[in-house]
Amino acid sequence: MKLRSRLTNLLGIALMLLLWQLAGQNLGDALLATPVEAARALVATLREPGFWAALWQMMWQMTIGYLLALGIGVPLGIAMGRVPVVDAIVKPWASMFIVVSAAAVVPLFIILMGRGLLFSTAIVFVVTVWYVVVSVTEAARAVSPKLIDVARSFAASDAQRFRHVILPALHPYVMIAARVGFVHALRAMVTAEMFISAGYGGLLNNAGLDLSTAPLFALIVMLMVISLSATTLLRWAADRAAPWYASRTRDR
Amino acid sequence: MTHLSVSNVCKSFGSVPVLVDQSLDVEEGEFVALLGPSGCGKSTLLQIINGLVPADRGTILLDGKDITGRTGAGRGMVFQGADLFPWRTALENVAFGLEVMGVGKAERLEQARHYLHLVGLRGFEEAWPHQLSGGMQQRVGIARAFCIRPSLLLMDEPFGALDVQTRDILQDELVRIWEAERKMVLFVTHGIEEALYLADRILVFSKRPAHVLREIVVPFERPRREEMKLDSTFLELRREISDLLRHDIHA
Repeated sequence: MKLRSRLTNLLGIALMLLLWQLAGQNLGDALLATPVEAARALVATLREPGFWAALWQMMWQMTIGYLLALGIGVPLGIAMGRVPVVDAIVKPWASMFIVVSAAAVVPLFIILMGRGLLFSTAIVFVVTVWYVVVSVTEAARAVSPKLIDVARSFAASDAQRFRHVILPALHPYVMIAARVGFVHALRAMVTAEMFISAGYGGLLNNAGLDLSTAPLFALIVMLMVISLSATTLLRWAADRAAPWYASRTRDR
Repeated sequence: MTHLSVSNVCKSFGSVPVLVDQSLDVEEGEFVALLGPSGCGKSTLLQIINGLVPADRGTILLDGKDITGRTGAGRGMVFQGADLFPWRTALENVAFGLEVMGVGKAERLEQARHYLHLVGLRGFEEAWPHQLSGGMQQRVGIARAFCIRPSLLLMDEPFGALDVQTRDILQDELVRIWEAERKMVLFVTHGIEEALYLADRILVFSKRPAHVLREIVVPFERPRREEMKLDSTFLELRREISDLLRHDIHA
């Protein structure tokens, strides 16, 4: 069954690549480079030292903003889900800021913070943190009151109920927030860099001006690869950390 | 000498009185069933005794100590839907109460293993709750309550969500375990047959606000056997209680 769904996946990808190839051959590489050309450009790009420097710069700056967003977003989300006062204070801000895209705040942030590390981490943080907050809040609110009653009936203290019921119940959802938050963070980081023409976003900018679209596709494919590997890694970590959840969702 | 004494418990939810001046006593080693229609307030009484729900008035004494409004302290609760922690294995679920009490890991797991084996789940120590059937989950729930060695066991319609065959098997298992480790039991149910089969004494409750319509001392010998369900006294008692409840509903 699993093998069959894998095969179907591969078939879908092959079909897509075929369509892309046909369309590319008709439109020419100034409009739509074919996958073959994109693959060639990718190999060339990977050989450039500038590419690796840009990738490294993007990744470490993004990681700072991302970790900050998790470090603040997760506790804040738990507090909002469990303490009505905190929710009442923060909720309006969370629901307003969550719709603001990176592109909308970048100009303001450039004026406020310049174009350095502070700027890019701040963009990543602001875009990611609300997503984390909102999803963790929902999860914290949904912790089964029955299970909390079970813990109470065994005379568990507030701290014990937090440690033995609320935290483990939240664990899988925090991991999901981390996974989707990563994608948000990466997107925000690329957008920010495109505005200031630095790092990986800068490369994307330059490639966009090129006469061939192949190098642009190569860079986009690399972004997809990064995002996919990171989320796969995070999923693997989540499954290791919460085997009960992994086993329950696998059986389904 | 263990003893439970509940006196003059009152409880209203908003303006709806659920319990008015209820008192009851349970003697050492006695199995008491609280029988009544759904929603009559018998579960609320159990939760007040457990300490999960505060009473408006009244006191609860367990072995002479006032435990009104407090949880823990000598009481083990079996919940209707088992309500196991999905992130704990069967063994860790059973050990939960001891962990909260601060018992060391090796010690509590050894105790938990003993009770898990007692409820017939040898070999399922490392199973996750979602991998167990409803009946097996409730066995874990029973082991979890026994594992803290409570002097009073509280059971809130523990077999209500199970199919008839599983319920019959678990009733027998419960009797077997309880006969090996006699403690006071308060067993909430709306099943007349279940109450007669399990209990030493049945308190038949009215519809809301709940009060005791009649107290029935069950005359059957222990150990109880499946055949007694066909005994003429059993059938007669069953009809009597059934009439009593039906009268009350239409009164």
